[in-house]
Amino acid sequence: MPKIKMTSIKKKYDNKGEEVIHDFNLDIEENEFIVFVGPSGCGKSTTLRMIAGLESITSGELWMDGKLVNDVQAKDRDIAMVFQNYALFPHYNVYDNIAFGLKMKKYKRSFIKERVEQAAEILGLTKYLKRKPKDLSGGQRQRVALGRAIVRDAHIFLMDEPLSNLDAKLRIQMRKEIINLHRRLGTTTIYVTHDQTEAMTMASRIVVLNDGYIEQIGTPEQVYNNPQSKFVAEFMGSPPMNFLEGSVKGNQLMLDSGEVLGELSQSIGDVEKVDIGIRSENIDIAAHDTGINMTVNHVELMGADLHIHGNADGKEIVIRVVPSEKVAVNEQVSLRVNIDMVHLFDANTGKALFDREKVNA
Amino acid sequence: MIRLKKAGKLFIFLGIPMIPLIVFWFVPMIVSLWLSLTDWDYISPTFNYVGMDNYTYAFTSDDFYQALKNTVVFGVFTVVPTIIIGLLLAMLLREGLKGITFFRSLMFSPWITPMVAMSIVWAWIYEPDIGLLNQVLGWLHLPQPEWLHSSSSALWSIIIVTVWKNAGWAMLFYSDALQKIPRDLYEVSNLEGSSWWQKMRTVVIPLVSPTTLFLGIMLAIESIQAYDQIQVMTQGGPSGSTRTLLYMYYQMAFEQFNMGQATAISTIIVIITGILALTMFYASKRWVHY
Repeated sequence: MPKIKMTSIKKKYDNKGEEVIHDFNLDIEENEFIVFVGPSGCGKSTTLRMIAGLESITSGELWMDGKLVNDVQAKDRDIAMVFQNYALFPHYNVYDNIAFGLKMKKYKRSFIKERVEQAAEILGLTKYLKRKPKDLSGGQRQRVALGRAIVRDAHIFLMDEPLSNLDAKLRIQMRKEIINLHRRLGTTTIYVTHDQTEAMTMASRIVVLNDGYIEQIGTPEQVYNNPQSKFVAEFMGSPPMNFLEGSVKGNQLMLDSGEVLGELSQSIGDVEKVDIGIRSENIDIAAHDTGINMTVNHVELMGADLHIHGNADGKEIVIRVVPSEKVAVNEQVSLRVNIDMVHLFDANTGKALFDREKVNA
Repeated sequence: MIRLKKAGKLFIFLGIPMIPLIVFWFVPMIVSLWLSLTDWDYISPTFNYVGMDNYTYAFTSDDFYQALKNTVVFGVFTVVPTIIIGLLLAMLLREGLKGITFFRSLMFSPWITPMVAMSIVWAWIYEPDIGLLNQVLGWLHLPQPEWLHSSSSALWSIIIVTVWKNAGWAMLFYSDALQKIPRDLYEVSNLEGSSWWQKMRTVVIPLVSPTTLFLGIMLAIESIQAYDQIQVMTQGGPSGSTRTLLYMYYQMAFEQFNMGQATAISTIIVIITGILALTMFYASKRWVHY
């Protein structure tokens, strides 16, 4: 029995009448770390809030531990939630903020003290228990919000973009802390983010959402290596996947310009118009003329990698090479594509034309 | 040269605005402080210096203590209910309800109506034999008090009118303060199972506390300065039951022409107002959260 089961869930806001979540189906197992990822307005926070009981469910069923909870109030779902803006009480100190839920439930003072001190110890907040939120840094505030969630011993954690207000360095550190916390407590967690890096690094499974629809559910490897739609391919990965337009004739993959990229190892039949997706690490600079030429626009040294941006076949392309590669702006280079790693998508529907996992298996 | 320029700027930006303040506030205050030490009768060109006699008289007179008690009762029972009703109205009339603007305007309209006009209408409403209020109470078979005509109910009648006038004003300030409370905090409370009262105690009351302090000070000062409604409805009666310190000052100055004693009372009023504002301000450091 899954921990959380969502069946055909739909959401409509009364005032708009327009459906914002369409037919959402998902099973979440005990101890999983699920990440909802997608661009702004894709419905990820709305879905999370429906699970929390902060938004009503228009239709469909939400089950938790085998119990239908559509009409169960938020407080009775035994859920702890961490908000984007921390939602700390400005007039309470760290101790009282962490203890808030336990106080509302009127637990004994000694029990509250023990739990709060334990949570503060885990989160490195012991020194700050008497401070008010305004005297804490962003990272410390987020830890207090996490403390309030873990002290309750809730059986599900919901996190709504908890790191988006932090600077890049702190975000990486908190990411690590949340992963360690999950490993330590093992609580089923649903985490919402628009940052694909967070999704890739934290999730046991990722749910990619777009415009209220689930685009793909899978492990970070599945979502990255085997995107089932052009949207997922574009959204996941940094730099994003490159796209060229072409066609398939008798297993030969050709660009619209007529250049042959190579022969596909799997047969998908003739397709007149395909979008060819190639990750930046699957293209490199060829020593000889391959016929696929790129004019270099600019070069970014990322430290371990060199990103070369340019134009090829009328499209913008980014390739990732070793930093020792020497290229100059406005130089024309020939590109070599690893044909075994290309992804093909239907030019009309955006759906993947084959399953890369099965092909490479 | 730079020093001269600085002095010129100081004069323009500080000196000029200070002129009306000095002419219309500081000078009269000092003059009235001086008058409180005299026996001037408002008409004679001469008067005698009497030292602290006017203050001694005030602090030994029963009328003064009754007026002081009336002022305190009037102050407490107008400020506290106005704040509570204002907050509850603001919570009731939150954004998103249908016809909210109409109801808000309705609640706010007493504030923009002149107190004198309103007091005349309320005096009719309170009329024991033909007034609307007793008519309604009669239909409901409830006791019909004498309202403004009885010394036991007159002050309460004026308190009701004052609260009714000010509650809409307090509501407007609270509406704005409530809108500034982050929605997340209510959601946390919902998730943690807070009751209505727990939400009030942990979210609403602490987060609107700066507004409560502001309204508390303003309403307290206004209650000490209440005059119009008393003048129109009871003129301090019956038997001094609605005579506040300010009304006592008015009666002494312009009915009894005893300017010395009147200004002594006005000085006491200023001191009470100052002590009250300072106490509220310092006490607020414990319960106001910015």
